[in-house]
Amino acid sequence: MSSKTFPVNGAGLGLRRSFIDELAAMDNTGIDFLEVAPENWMEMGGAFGRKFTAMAERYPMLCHGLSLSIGSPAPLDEPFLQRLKKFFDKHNIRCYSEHLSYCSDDGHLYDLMPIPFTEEAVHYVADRIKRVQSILERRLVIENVSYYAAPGQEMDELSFIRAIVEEADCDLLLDVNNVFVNSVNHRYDPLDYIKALPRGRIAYLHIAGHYNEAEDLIVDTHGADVIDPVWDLLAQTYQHHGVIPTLLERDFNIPSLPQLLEEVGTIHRYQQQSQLQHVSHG
Amino acid sequence: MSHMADSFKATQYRFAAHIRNPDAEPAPEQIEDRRMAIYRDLFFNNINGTLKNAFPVIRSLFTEDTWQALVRDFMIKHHCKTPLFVEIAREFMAYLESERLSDDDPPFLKELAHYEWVELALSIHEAEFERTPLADEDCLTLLYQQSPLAWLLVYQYPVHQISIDNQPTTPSDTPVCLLVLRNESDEIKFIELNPVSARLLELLSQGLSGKEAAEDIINAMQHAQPEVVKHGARQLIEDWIERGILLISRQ
Repeated sequence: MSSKTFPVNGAGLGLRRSFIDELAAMDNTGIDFLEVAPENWMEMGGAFGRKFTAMAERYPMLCHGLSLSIGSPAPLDEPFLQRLKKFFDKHNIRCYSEHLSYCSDDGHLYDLMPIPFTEEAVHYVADRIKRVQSILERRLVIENVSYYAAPGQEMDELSFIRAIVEEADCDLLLDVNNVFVNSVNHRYDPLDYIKALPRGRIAYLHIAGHYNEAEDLIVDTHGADVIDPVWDLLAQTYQHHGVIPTLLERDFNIPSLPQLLEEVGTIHRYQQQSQLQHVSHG
Repeated sequence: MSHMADSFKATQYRFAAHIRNPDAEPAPEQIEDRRMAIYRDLFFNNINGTLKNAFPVIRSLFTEDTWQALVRDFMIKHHCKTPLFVEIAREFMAYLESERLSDDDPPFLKELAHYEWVELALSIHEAEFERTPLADEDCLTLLYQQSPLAWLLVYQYPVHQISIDNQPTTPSDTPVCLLVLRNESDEIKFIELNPVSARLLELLSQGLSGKEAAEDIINAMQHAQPEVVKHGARQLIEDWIERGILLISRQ
């Protein structure tokens, strides 16, 4: 078995405002850790600030950023990094991940655009990740994003992401659903992609549902239940890389909390099954 | 395509420009339009949803078409600096202030945007509620600070009454003074003040004692019954202390 130490263990849930009160009132949730977008919770006082503090005291907390814009053609927002650092320290944030993407030109656009897969972009982004790691004094974890177009493409996505994590010496958040979505949209084998990622760098996994725009074009909305092929892909990821902490993301059409906890329970079941298999084979 | 040193950045700028303004800026080459359409929709819907949530009254005054044109104009003209989502509303106010050019907008639009933003801004303000009780003393003799959770706002238009059926075309005769506060239960309350009460609060937060502030008002109004003004001031100040609007400064 891998000796890698993870920032958290087990199965987690992306924390949303819509269910924070309900979650706070529950005793046995089966959730091992939570994750938030720091841009939605940092520097926030009042009722929400207090609720967040309470959750961060009760559960191991991860941050999954949205606005760092690591691939942006505009300069890094270093004052923002200092603000993030303060927030991470204040709430004992276990791990900070961001999208391998960009969300701004000379101004923020608040969603994810695809970085051109080129050699120059690899060096550019890797340098920026190193700068982020040195300011934050912690490793940055970057996530493979869903993309619907690959403008200016000179290399494939897998080579691009592998080159960046290697050159920047950073960690990886593997979003299993994004791999599935991209494998359909860009016609590659999702398991080959996952197997080719460096095991030692994977910090945790994301799993989510999505929306089918057409047979050959899927939109990653985080707005639906996780589908069976994605569960299968998760099981195969465990089989190949060992059990890795996994977080359920749900951003839109959020169902009832018990339903979400059921999906978290499904993650637990896959993790247990995989552990048993490893034991019986090991 | 050329291979200059940062050609990938040029591609990025073009991609973003197209998302901001699809009618005027061409998409990067060789990308299927239904794929670009996903990006166009995702970005527009995201910003549209954020603005709708932040400014429900303003949204209600526009038609679907004029509202969408407003959101599109914001995306084209304004470059948001904030990485925080709750501050997008503030970026929209900055846009209305300096980039919006439309003769069709109602004259109260900027003030209404401010009024709608205040509730959100105050609800997440980092200050904690505090109350400084009055001991056995005359509140007119004391000095005060205005709570960071109580904001005195002065508008030209009665922004708190605006709706689709009530849209003023000219400013009010007297300024509209609203005191907005977050109470100890984290609720946001709006209190309408008359201009004299608003002046009293303003003078107190500038550092005048209760007595000095009352005298200032008596002189300015040439009031024939100073004791009536002082009595009124005392009642107001006691109420404001009780609600945590005024904090007693004790050096």
